[in-house]
Amino acid sequence: MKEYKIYRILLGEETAHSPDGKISDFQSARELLEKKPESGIVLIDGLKGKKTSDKLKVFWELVELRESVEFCCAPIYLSRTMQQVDILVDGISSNIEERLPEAASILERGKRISREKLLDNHNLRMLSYMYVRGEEYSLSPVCSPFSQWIYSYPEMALLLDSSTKASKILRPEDLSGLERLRSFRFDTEMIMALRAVAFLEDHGYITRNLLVDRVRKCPKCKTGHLNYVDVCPNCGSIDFNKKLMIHCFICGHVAPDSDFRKNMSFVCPKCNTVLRHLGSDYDHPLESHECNNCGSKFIEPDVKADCLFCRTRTDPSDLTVVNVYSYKLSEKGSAAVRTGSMQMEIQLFDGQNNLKFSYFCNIIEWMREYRKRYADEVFTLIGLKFSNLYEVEDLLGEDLYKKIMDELIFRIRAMVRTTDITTSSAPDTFWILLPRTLFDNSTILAERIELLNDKLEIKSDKKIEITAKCFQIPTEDNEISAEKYLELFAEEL
Amino acid sequence: MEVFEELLSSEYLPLLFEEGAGTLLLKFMPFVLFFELPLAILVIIGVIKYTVDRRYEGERRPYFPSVSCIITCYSEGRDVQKTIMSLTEQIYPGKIEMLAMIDGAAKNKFTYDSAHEMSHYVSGFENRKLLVVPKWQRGGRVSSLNTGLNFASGEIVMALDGDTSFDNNMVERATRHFEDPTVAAVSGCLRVRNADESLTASLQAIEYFISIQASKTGLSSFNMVNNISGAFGVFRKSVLDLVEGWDAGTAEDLDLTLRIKNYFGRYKKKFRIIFDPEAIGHTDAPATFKGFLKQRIRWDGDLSYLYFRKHKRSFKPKILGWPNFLMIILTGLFSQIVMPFVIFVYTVWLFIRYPIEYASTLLFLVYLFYFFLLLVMYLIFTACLSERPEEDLSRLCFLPLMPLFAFAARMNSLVATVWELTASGHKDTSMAPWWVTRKNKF
Repeated sequence: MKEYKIYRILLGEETAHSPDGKISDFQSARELLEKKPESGIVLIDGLKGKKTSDKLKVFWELVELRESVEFCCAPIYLSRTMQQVDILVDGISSNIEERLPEAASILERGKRISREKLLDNHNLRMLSYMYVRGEEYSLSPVCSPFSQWIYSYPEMALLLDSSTKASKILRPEDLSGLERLRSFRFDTEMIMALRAVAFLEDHGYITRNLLVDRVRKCPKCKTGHLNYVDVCPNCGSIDFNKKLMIHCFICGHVAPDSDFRKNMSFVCPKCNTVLRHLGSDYDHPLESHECNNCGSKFIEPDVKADCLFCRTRTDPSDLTVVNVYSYKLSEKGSAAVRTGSMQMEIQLFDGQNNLKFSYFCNIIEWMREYRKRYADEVFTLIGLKFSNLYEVEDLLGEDLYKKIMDELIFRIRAMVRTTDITTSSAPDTFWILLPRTLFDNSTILAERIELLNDKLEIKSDKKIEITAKCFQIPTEDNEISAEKYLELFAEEL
Repeated sequence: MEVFEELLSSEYLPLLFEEGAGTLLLKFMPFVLFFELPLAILVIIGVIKYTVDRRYEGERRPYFPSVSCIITCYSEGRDVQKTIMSLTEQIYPGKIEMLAMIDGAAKNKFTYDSAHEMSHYVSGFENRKLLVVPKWQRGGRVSSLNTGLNFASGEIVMALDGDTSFDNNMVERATRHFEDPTVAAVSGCLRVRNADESLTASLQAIEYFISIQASKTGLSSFNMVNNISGAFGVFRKSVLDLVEGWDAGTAEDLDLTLRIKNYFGRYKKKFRIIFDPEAIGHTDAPATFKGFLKQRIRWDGDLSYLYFRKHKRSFKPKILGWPNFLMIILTGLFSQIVMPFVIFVYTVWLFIRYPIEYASTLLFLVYLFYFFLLLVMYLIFTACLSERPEEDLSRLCFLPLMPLFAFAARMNSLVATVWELTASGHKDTSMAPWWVTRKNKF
C-alpha cells in the first residue's frame, strides 16, 4: 500500500490525536490549499465540539476543502464528533492510523480522475465523490424539519460550483449561522443540491437505493409545511361548530341541541317536555356541524392542506407527493467519472435519413468513390455541436430547457432537406451530409443554424451555444478514412 | 279483597272502638305516636319548605367548578357505557372528568373493554375527559374510590356506581350547592331504573321515592341528612382530603358520612350536608324478591356493624352535635335497628295477649293507617317533588302492597341485625374480597 500524506488542520489546543512523523500540521484549510499539496488524507483536530461555534469552525474548513479541486473527493476525518457536521466527513477517529486502509482505497480510486475535468462541473464532482468511496457508498438525505426543503443532500451542497453557491454558505463570523448550522439551513445551497441530485437521477448517473421517506408538498411553492385543517365544505371557513342533534322521544321532534337548551336543561320546543335522560327521553340521531361564517349545515367537514408559506389551500389528494431516496452510483455514473465526461443525449434527427454513425461513414466513403468518377458530383458536411447543455439545463431548469431544445430541434429539422443524411458521432455532436451542395451554399445554412439561438420565440437568460461548421473531405487522399476525418473535424467544432 | 271484606265485617272491629280512642291509640303507640307520625310530619313540612325555597331559588350563578367522577365498576359490562354517556351528556359548561375504576379488570375484561370503547365518544365533547383505570387485582369498592381519589383533579369529587346513569342536569344541580363554603357534601337522589321490570322492582321504586327522594329532601330542609348515598355521593375534594378518603371495610358511604360529621363536630365548624332531589341517578334494583332480601341483609347488617362496632366511641352528642345525634338515634339506630325488634316483639305479644281475630283486626287497622299515611305522603310528594309525575302516579296501584312490603323488609332487617351481632356478618359482604376484609382492623 502506498504511503499517503496526512494533513492535519489544527483549529485549537485540544488535540485528540498525538502527532507522529507522517502528519503535517496546518492552521487552516486555506494554509493547506496555498501549499498546492498533493492528494492526501485530511484530519481536522483541536476542537472539543462542545460549542456550536466549534462546529461552525469545522464546518467552514470543510466548505473550503470540498470547494477545492484537490480535496473535493478526498477522505476527511474528524478527531471528535461534531454532531450534525459528522455526516459531511468520512468518519470520526482519534487514531487516524485505524482509518488509513479505508482512506487509502479512497485515494487509490481517486487517481483515475483527472482534476481539470472536475473544475466547474459540480455534477461530475458529486459522481467522483461517490465513485471514490466505493460501491457501498450511498448518498443519504438529511432531514431539516424547519427548512422549506425538509430533505436534502448536504454533501452535494458542499460540492456545488462556487458560482452557484454565490458564497452563501456561512462564514464563521456569521452569528445567525449557528442556528442555521443546527439544521443545515443554507437554503439556497440545499435547494440547488436537491436539483442537482434530481438531475443526476434523471439522467441515470445515480440510482435509487433506499426509500427513506415520503413527504407531501405544496404544489405551488413546493414547501412541506402544511397545516391540515377541517373546513366548511360550502365556504371553506374554519369557523364552524359541532351541532348535536336531539331527537325527542315524546313527540319525535328532531333539531339541533341549541333549540332544546333552556337554562340548564333540554326542553323540547315542540311538546315542551323536559328531556332529562339520554336513552329514555331523547337521543342523538346524528352529529352535524354548522358553519359560523355561511350558516350552512353539514355532516362531515372537508379536510384541506394549507401551505404555511404561501397560504395556498390544496385538497390533500392534490398535494405533490415526493419520495425521498438515498442514492448509489450507477454504471453510467461510474463510466462518466472514469472518462471524465458527462454526455448529454439529445435526439436531434430522426427518421429514415438519420443513420448509425458507421453507416454514415460508409456512405461518405461511397460518395468519395462516386466523386472520383464524376467530378461534378460535390457534397458538403455540416458539423453541429451544442456545447453548454448541462449548464443551461441547470440554470434554466428542466422545463424551460426542454422547451428551448424542442424549438431548436424543430427549427433545425426544418432546414434539412429530404435528401440530406444525418448522424451523430457524440451525444452533443451531429453531422449533416448535403449531397450536390457547394461549400459556399452550405456555409449559408451553417450560419443560419448558428444564428437560430437569437430567433427563438422562448426567451431566456442563458443561451445554448451552437457551433455549426462546413467541411469538405478531400477526394484525393484515400489514406485517411472518413471516420478519421470526422474525428478531426469534430475537434474544430 | 275478600280478606279485606272479612276483616271489615269482623265482629271485633266495633269492639276495638268501644274500648275508646285512648286505648286504641295506646295499642298503636309503639309504632306511631313516638316515631312514625312525627317523622312523617317533619318530612312533609320539610318537603313543603323545600318546594317553596326551590321556587324562589332564582337563576343559576356562573359558578362551574371542575368535577371528577369516580365511577366504581366491577362486572357491570355494557351498563358502564350508559353511565359514561350520561355523564358526558351533562348540560354543564365546566369540566367533567370521568375516572372509570375497573375493579378486578383481569376478570372483568368485558367491563374494562366496554369502558374503553367510550374513549372516542367522550373525546368528541368539549370539557369532558375519560380515564379508564384497570385495577387488575380485585380490591373492593373502597380501594377503587381511594385509587380514584389519587387521579381526581376536580374541585368536586363524585363517588358513583358503574350501574347508575344520570339525568342530564345532575352535575349542575349537585355542584351549585358548593358555592356555599359550609357545604361539605351533597347527597344525590337515586331512582330505580328498572322499575317496570317486576313487581319487586316497582315496589322498590316507590320505596326509593318515599324514603330517598322525599324523606331526605324533607330532612335536608332542616339540615338533618345523615347519610350520603354510596352509589351517589358528591364531595368537596378538600373535605375528602381532610378525612383522608374512604376507610376500608363495608358501608363506606355511611362510614364516611359519620367521619365527616365527626370531623366537623370535633372542630365545632359549621358545615352542611345537602340532599338535592333533582340531582338524579338511576340505578338497577334487584328484580326478584329474593334478590331484594339478600341486598337488604347486606345493607342493614353493614349499618348495625357501623353503629355497634366501629363508631361506638364517637357516638356522642358532643362530637356529632345534638340535632345530628338525635337524628342518627332516630332514623338510624332507632328506625333501622330498634324498630324491627319492637315491631317483632309487639306483633308476637299481640297474638299471645289477644285472640287471633282481635289481633289480626288490630293489625289490619295498623295496615290501614300506614296505607293512608303513605297515600297522603305519596300524593303530596309527587305534587311537590316528582320530576316525572306521570311515571310516579302510574305506580299508585302498587301502593296498597307497600305496608306489607315494608313489613317484610323490616323483618328481614331484623334477621340481618341478629346475624351481624352474632356472627360478624359484615365480613361476608360481597363489596370487597375476603383477603381485604380479613385484614380490616375493625
